[in-house]
Amino acid sequence: MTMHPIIRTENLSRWYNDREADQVRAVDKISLAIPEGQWAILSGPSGSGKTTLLSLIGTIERPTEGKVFLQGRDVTEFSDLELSRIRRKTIGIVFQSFNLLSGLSAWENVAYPLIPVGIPSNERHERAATLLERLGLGRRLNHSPEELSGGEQQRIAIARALISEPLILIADEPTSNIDARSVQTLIELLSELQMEGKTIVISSHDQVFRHCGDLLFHLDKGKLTETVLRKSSP
Amino acid sequence: MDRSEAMRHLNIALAAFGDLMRHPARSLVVTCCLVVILLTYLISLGISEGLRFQAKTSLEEGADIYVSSDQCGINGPVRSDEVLKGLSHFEGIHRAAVRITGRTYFAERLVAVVGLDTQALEALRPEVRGDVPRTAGEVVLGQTLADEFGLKPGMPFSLVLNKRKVFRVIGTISPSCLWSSHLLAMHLDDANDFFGMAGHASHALIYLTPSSSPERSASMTEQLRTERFNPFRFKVEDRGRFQDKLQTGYSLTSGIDSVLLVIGLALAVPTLVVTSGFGMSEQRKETGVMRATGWRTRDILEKAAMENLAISLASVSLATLLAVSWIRGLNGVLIAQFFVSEVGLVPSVDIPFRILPFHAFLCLGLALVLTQTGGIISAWASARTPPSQAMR
Repeated sequence: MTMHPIIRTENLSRWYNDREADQVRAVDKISLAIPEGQWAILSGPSGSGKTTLLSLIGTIERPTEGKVFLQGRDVTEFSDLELSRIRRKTIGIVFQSFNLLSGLSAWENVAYPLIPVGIPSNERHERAATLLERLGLGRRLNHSPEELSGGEQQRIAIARALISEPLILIADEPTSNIDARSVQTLIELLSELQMEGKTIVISSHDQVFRHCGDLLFHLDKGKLTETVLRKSSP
Repeated sequence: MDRSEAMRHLNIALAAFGDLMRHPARSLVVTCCLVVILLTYLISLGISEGLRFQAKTSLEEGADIYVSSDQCGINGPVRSDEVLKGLSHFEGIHRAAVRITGRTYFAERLVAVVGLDTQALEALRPEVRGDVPRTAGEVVLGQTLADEFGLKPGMPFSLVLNKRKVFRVIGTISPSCLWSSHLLAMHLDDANDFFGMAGHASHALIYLTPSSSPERSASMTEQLRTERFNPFRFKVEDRGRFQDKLQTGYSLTSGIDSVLLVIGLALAVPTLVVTSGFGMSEQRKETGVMRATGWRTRDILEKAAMENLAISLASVSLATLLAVSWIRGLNGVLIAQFFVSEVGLVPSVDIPFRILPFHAFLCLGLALVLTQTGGIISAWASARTPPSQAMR
């Protein structure tokens, strides 16, 4: 396991509303570093800026100020096309509400990111089926998300995030829409993925992660208030 | 293009068709709006082309050369004996005849009156239900006219222009030709009597031998115009001249169609923008998910373009099918009146209609402009929005 930061932020800020009176500083001058292969947890109360920080790291949101470095490259100034490439190859994102596409089956949802890559349908199906099999959804390939439980939907969302074999997996409040049994399955899965070398960044205000992860970043009102090193660190 | 790139295009096309199926309500609303716009336009084009084709066919089947007098640049009547005598010495003429064409009011309705010689009236027989005029006072009527005034064979009537002249219906002209819908056809002598123009005709018709070429027709027209053959300074025009006039008239009609198209576009674009906004929030959210999972803006635009192409193709096919069914099957009931004057809600005359491949391509172009304007802009706007915002 290398200790070079695969993710680094430098005075990262994201403000909403230009007028000073209404200005909301969702993320305010946060600098942090997450080494490759580590599991980082962003904790903090609701509204502390966890989701915004994850969005900025995941390149699905542009910062107001500051920089985000992924694999040592400043992605803040990247073009739209370059960011798409990052999201396609480097980062997999699991959204809080999963954001699965209705009307598509489980495997079609998982394989959707591979459509513009030019991978034939049978190969997409095979890759999605392998991943879903691994996540315990081998019998749910052709079910639509509406027919599945919250935990199963989340695993589909995780499979979709992993289908392009990214180096970084980002998950926003992954326990908020699943039951206690699914939470345990999720923790085991994330641990497995970390063992495989993936860098994992999750946001959560849930105490279930209190014994998990290598790094804990505590946020409050958009600011990084505490960094806790649990195992190895840079 | 390498295999992977080709597969990318195929994948996106299939995803586009799949997404249309996933959002049936939205696809249906946009398709319906397009069909309404295209159907109206196709019917207008089809009727216009049908009329032109009918006119062209009658012209081709008519005389080769037309002779009238020149009255300040406008065609005037000729003395029948003078013109026929002059033509009788001319070689290469298969048949020469005179004809009267005029207009008068049948109650409040403006109708066309045609006076023909016996041979020309006989030639009408295949188109006539009943008999053709052979004795004084006998007329055949256009079907629409007969229906409108409840005239049946054997019934007498007279017209305001010449009340003492009493006509008797002996047949009706088949409704297959729109031009004859409001026509009164009678013998030449009756028409002379009715209009008070004894010995005159609107023009003389010259039929050349069937094997004559257009060049022969043109050369004979020139000869007829010379002083030697034309001491009365008749106005001589060949069929080509009338065909040119027809084309000019058609171009004018096409111009009107184009104006209608522009107006249609002006109304249709906002309509489609509004309708394409139907289900927009879901589409925007899905675009956000696609962008967040690595789709590029151009992939999203390509998918939107494919969706629009599929919707356009479906709409044009459906509109063509409906237009043909409506005009051919239902004879343009309710709609033909907007494009052909005086045919009424339920036309009794066959509405001419002709769709050419060009019309379908024109409609496809129109459909693409409309859908791409509405669809691509919204897809582009969604794709340019940061994914985190688009997904909210």
